Amino acid sequence: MAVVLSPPEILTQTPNSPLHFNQVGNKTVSDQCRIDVQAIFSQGDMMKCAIRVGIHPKYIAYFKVEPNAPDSTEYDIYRYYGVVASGFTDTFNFRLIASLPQGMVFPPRIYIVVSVKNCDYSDYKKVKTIYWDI
Amino acid sequence: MSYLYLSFGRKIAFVALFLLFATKGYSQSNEVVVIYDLDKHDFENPLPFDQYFKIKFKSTKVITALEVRYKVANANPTTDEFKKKYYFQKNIDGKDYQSSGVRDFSSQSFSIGNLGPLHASTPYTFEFIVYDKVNMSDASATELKIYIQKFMNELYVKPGVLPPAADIINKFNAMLTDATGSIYGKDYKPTTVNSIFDKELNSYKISLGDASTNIDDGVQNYTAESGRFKPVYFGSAFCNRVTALEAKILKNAYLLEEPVNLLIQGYGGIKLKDMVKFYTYDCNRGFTYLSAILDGKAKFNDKLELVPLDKGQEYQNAETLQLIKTSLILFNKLKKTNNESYFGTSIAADIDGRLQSMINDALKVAESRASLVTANANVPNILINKYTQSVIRTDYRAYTDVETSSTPYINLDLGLLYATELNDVFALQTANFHLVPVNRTAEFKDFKHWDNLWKRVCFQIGISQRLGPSDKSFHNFLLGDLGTPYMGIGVRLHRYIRFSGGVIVYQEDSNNPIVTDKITKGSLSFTLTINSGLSAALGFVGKVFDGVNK
Repeated sequence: MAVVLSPPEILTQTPNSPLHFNQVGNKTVSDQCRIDVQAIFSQGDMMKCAIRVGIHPKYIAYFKVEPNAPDSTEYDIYRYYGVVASGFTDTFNFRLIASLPQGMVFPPRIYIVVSVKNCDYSDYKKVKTIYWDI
Repeated sequence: MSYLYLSFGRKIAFVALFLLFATKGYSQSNEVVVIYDLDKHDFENPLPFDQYFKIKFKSTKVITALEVRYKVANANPTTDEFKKKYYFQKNIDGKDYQSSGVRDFSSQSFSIGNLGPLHASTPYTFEFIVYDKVNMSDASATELKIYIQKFMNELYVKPGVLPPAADIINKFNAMLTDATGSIYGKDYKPTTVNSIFDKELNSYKISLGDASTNIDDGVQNYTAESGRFKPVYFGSAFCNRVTALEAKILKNAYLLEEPVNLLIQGYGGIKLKDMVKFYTYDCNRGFTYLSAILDGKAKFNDKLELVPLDKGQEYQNAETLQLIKTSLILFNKLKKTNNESYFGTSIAADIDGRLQSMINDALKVAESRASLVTANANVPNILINKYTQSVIRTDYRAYTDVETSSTPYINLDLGLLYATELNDVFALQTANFHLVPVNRTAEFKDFKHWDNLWKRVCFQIGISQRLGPSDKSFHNFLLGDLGTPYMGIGVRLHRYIRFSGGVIVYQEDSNNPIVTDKITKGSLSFTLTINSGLSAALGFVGKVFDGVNK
């Protein structure tokens, strides 16, 4: 039976909003961020699962994500888990790099898109956008 | 014999005059008031030099706030020569002008004090920075709001990457320049685009950003689900059942006559048999209608006719999806007369979950679009508490000559002289000659360098009249009843009090009775005098002596 994906559940999001940035060398770096993501699906026991956590595409001129991992870009973290059951969770720890500190007033918030993908299909994923105030 | 002594009347007159000078000197305010006409862009009376002054402004319109700036014209303030020569001109915050700071008024009559001092005979440029509340017509204000709404929606709602900050600033500034010119905040400092986005537009941009990302989420999830839905579930098995459906072969045919879902507002009249007709038509057309619905491009009206959803309305078909979902649930309840499910496995078990997921997404899209409409209906007025600035420039030179009321080079003193040789006191009137322009009401503490000397020292020529009873051998020199001459060097101890030392010249009878010629003698003298302006002093002297002589 084909899986019906739900948007990812965000079990933990720290720190509390607003997210603070600090100057580290020549970089403007945020406090450490942590997101615990849970993949939920119905109508199937298992699915090939991947989770991506990244900057909302509209705001990639203003923020980047560190650290990056294989298959990730400078804007997001991608993890493939293989076959998992519904309720599978993973933790993402990262910092954001502000590309243009003086332009921080223009993004309304720091929007982070969390997506859970059913890798049995090329285009079947569900997203949830969370945010921190700046 | 020219025996001189002052009559009792003249002594009284002299004391009265001395007191008048003293009173006049001490009673003068040390801040001169000058008037500036903001409409004519000019001063109405001369500015003083070496002295603080107050500008009283005249204007035919209400001024919100004003700043006075002034500087020595055509000079490079960074040179050491400038700094030494024009020491009144303080370099404030790296600017080459002095400023009163911005003062709030909101009236037509106001003044700014504690300005200056200015150096004498020096060209100055004055700038009057006038702040007024931004004044726009209703039409222009509406036009500006429409522009801001369009600008913000292009930034935060339209697909694509948010442009770099510099691009946003340049475009927004260009728009503001067209609409109002530069604007200033409550602190009368230029309002930056960053500041506007951080304050006035902050809530608006967050509303747009939140709504836009929620719409994105809803559309992505909706299309992801519909992409899985379409190819699988509506196929020949389903169509075979639908097209063959008749009441007589059903055990619970009454379901066909029941409303599909009374809870869906506007669709309470739709019965299950109506949905059967819809699916039948759609099966005959290769599921064109259902595809349009699941693509988010169409919805039912209350007659089950399909209404296309325009761009901007797409995916807002939750009620339609709800009707489909409920109708399929009811289809699954239809039983043949032998109690078997009529549709069997032709309607998959997961169809309920997929449709519910799409319904949730459609509702999210609709709700977020409504938020967007609300936000756009309340575009903030970025011009509240904002001001425009206009600059009035006036060139002025604090001219100095003997005709000016401040008598910069010559003035008069009245006081007492003590002649050491005669051991006697004289009344004294002197004319004082300065080498540099002197404003006698200026404070010494403001002077620097050589001004500390030359603004105090003067050469004095005067006449003195012996006050005390004198021996008969004393005679005035040359001037008869007017008195005897005095020459000296004076130093001002105070703005109006001068101490000087010099010589009086007088004549004395010889001790030798056979010598009739008078002997000319001089006496070292010290004086204490009170200073007055030339014209004022002449006026006083004339009046007092006129009165005494009558």
